[in-house]
Amino acid sequence: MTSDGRKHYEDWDLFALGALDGEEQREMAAHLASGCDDCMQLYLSAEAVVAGLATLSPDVQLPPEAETRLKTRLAAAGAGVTETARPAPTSPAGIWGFWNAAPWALAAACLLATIWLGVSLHNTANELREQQRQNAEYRSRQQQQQQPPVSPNPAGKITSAQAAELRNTIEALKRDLENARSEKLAAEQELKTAQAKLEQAQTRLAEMNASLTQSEARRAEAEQSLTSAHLQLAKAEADASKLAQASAQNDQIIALLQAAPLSQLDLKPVAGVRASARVFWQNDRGLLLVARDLPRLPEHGSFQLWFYRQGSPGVVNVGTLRVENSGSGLLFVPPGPALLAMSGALVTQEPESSSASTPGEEILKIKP
Amino acid sequence: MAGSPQEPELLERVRARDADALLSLYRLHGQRVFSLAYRLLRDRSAAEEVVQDTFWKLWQRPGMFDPQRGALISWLYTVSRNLALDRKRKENRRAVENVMLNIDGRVPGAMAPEMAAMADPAVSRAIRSAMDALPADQKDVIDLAYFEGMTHSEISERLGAALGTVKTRLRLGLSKLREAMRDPARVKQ
Repeated sequence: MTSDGRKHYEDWDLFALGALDGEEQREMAAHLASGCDDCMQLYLSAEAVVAGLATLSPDVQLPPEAETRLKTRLAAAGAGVTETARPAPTSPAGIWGFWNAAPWALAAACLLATIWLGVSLHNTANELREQQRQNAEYRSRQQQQQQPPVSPNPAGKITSAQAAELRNTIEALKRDLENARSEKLAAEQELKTAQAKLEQAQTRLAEMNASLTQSEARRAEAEQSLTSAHLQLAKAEADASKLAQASAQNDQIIALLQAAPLSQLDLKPVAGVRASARVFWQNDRGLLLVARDLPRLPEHGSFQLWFYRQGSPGVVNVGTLRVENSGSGLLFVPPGPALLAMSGALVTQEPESSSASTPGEEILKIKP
Repeated sequence: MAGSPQEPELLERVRARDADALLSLYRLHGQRVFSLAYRLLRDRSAAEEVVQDTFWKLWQRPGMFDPQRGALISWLYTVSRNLALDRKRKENRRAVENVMLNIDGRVPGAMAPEMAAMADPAVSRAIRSAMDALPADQKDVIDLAYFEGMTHSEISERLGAALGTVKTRLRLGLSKLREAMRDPARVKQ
């Protein structure tokens, strides 16, 4: 409503037309019901304008049997109908003048009216016959379904009220049938729509499944790549660690060689071996073994350095030589108890499954 | 639109439960009500049922129509349109707002001039001429609202026009029809 609680003609026009949306329509209806006489007048004016729109409908002939059905309905409701004849259609006023001016036209009009009445009666008779046929079909169906028949009166005849009720029932059944057909069609349409949506959803689901499978495959590949990368990293870290160890050892070797004075001893080859080796050491800086012309090692074999010492065991394993393809070998032994207890040195050739406590084949040795 | 001189008497008899009087009113107005129902539904069988139900309403509750408020034909048009649109939208979400029933029982003052004009046969010709003279966009929205029972929102969606535009077109069109009803002689026919 406006500030003064009123609306204008145009608003009530839309209201009477039913063109407003639900809430606004209800709001205005409530206002009318509240008793605003001014708005009621505006509404009535709008209602008349809207009703005027009905006159824009083209004339369509109302079926004559429709009146029969209304009569039947009235009779079924217990209303007494005495009229049976349908009055002739109202003639436009202008026609009367025409009749006065041309009497011969009256004869022609009578002829036309007679023809019209004949056709109408013929149609009505056909419709009544059709109605009777439908009634007979209905009764037949009722009997087939063994439903209780309409109770006849004592004389064995159906009364007019029962007949009217029966016709009314038939009409209601027809309407129900028509409604059921419409609902069935609508339901079928809804079913089709639902099926189409279901198919779309299934297609979408299949696409999503395919996409998911691809994603899982890609994830597996990525995990594999990640594992591989981890392995490479671990290897690189191990290599780096080895390099760091080697570097540290090299530093120790350099420190040892720069120290003075250094003790040194030559190891002597056993019979039949051409190799030679020398050890340099200082007790607090470690020991370095340098060997030359070492024999070719079998696959997986190695050269091992052992220290002789007093006590038991009389020999201890102190490390494996790093051997070059040229036959040179090198080993640094850090300072410690083994070096302090050293009384001699031994180089052996060890197979793959060598023992850490029992020396293998002797190659070079010095026993003070 | 012409009201019958016997109409008030027939209505009195209907109130007195005279079925013959109802049939007489049916013969007076049934044809026009059927034409409207058919225009709305485009189904002869359904339109006939709407006509039946319209007169049945009058029979069952004749007090719903107040002769002081307007012409019987207007009431019949309104009721039959509501019934037809209800039927049309049976499976739809919005039931027709039957404003006429909501305000039933109120006794307003004098009959609106437009309603009084409904008794003049020249008025229906004037309305038709005025409607023909409307710009197509105004005619279209009135047609969709009245004969298709669409709200302005639905019309806006259907035509792809702004809501305000639809309202304006409806108001302008109906305003011209009101003028035609008030002064049918001024409408070019």
